[in-house]
Amino acid sequence: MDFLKRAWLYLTRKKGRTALLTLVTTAIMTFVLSGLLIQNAAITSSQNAQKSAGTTVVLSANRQAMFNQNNSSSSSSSSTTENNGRPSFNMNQTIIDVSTAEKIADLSNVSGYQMTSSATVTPDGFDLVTSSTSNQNNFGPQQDTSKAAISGVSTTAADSNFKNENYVITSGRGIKTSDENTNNVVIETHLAEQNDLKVGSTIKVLDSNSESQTLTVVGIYEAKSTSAQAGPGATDPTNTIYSSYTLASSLSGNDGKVSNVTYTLTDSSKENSFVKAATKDIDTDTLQLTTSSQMYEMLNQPMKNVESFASKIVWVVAIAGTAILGLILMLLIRERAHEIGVLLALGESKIKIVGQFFAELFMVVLASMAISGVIGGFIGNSLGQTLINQQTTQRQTLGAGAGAPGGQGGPGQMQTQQSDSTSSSTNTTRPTGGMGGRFGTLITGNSELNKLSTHVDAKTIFTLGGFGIGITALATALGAIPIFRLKPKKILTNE
Amino acid sequence: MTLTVKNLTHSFGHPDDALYKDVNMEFKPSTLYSIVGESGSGKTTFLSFIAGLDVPNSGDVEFDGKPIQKIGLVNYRKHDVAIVFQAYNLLNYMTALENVLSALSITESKHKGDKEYALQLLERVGIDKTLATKNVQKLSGGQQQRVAVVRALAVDAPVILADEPTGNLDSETSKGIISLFQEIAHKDDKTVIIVTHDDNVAAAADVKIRLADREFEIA
Repeated sequence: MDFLKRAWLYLTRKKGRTALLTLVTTAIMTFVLSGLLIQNAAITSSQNAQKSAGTTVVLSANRQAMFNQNNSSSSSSSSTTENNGRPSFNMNQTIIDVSTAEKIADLSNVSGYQMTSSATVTPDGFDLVTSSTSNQNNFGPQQDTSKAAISGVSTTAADSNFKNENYVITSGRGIKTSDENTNNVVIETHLAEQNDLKVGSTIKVLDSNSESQTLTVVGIYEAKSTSAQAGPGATDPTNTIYSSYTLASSLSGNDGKVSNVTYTLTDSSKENSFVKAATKDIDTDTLQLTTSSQMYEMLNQPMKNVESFASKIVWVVAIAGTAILGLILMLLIRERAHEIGVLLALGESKIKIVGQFFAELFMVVLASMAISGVIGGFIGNSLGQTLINQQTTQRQTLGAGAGAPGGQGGPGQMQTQQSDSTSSSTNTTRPTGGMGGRFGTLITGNSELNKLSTHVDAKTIFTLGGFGIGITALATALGAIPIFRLKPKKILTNE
Repeated sequence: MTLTVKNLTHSFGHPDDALYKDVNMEFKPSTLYSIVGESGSGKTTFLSFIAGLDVPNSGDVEFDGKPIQKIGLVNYRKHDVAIVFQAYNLLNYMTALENVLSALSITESKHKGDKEYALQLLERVGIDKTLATKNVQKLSGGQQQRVAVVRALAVDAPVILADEPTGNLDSETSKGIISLFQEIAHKDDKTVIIVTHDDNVAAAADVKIRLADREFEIA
């Protein structure tokens, strides 16, 4: 009967102690596994997001240039307006000529494009849905809850919220390119229910000139995941009405203009040559082209933070776990001094006695790994999602709070000053408008960057096994220090 | 294979206050020795030196002409000597049979892993298969001591040392244990050294050694 058999006998006969040790090691291994899962999931998400984000280029207002220009001109003139005592500036974001957008779309390597424009309108004869999210924003623009948001798109099918199934058409159809220059709209199910609206019903709204416009409901969608995740400044999706971009531009008084165009390229390697060619067709003082890889870098920061945090979790838990197990083992070995003395008296070497303790702990760690494999996935998933939500929210809050171009606060603030009844807003209506909106869209829309899909695979188990062996070896070495000081006679005569 | 003690001197404090001084003794095979003496006279300490559990201040314990420290204390304990303790010192998470098999494995005995051999030896001291497969904590003191004796005689060690092996046993069981030691010494050609307080046990030995006034005398 060698030391491995003795280890097995000890574990199976001393069930209470084995259970206690298994509990402690399971807790340690579960946290290590959770950390590994989050880390792996974050890396995979980043890689997948990079792959999926690598084929789009967005044309939008160059807010940074416009902001700088506005600042320099406002400091030397009296054109600055005051907003609650703070200097502000007025800047129309819906400035992209449709003709320019279409000219760029004709360039080679463009497989498709999505124009977006937005507006806010005052309901005429129907009621908006009141919800807690629509009037509790403390950051960025204050939402005017008496107005509905018009979100103009080329097609709803190309909209990230529909693509990611956050929004689902439940009745009728979505917006198509054939809806250009029509008053067809798609409304949210709660808004439809509250006002007894069905496909084919009509609603009236007041546009930017306070003129009444009649819109025809061609579809009803359900917002499964609210755009509240897009952060401050985002509109309650229940009051968001989808239309063709032509209608949104018209309602905001910006006929023939859109706020964003997202070009999907056939080949991501042609991204730079596309940008170079497209730049020739635009005024870079007012417009800018942002590649998806640039956006990816900005949007990927929360995921990087999660990855870094997970890595720290793994190492902190591994080190603390080793120390805890080492101390537990020291106490257990102290209790087993008599047994060690007997084994030494029988002629067993100290190395084999330590080997027995290592084998015992390793068997416990193996069992813990199996248990961790089951529960670690759940904990990793839950913890990872909390982390990514926290990171995403922090990033959005920063963007909104800064009030700078690109953040959601700045543009939104500008828009709310524009008109009594309607404004040609982008960011105030939904996050797809403007730079800040695009960030929001990609964060909320790109499932790779706002979800962590943790699953236990062979590689993770292999890594966990490595940590298990490492922790076991170090803890045993720590716990076995007293064994090497023991003299069998001393142990046996002190009993 | 003779066990020899040469010029063994040991003290726990000042060298002038030695427990023993220049002890020279020889223990031969096929002989049962008993060492008697008052409590605190140093019998168990002497046993620990010849068992390779401790090292004296000076002098040597030699086995087959070689100092045991040269053999290596672990090797010596593993192959050349087996010990029976007063407190049995069985591994408490094992059965009687597993204790014996464990000793056979550690000492790399030629009977390593031989269950039948272990069961036969246990049977010889009255531990049947039912008792042999019970956890040792469920056995009586006498039964545990017999298991401890079997563990010592099962291994191939030519020297068997016993520290008060009958200290916790009734007189009937003691007799059985002593006759077992006699049998081991005479039939199995082993050197058996028993440290005891019990005059009956001492009387059963082939050679009776008395430790008194720091001197070992053959009675």
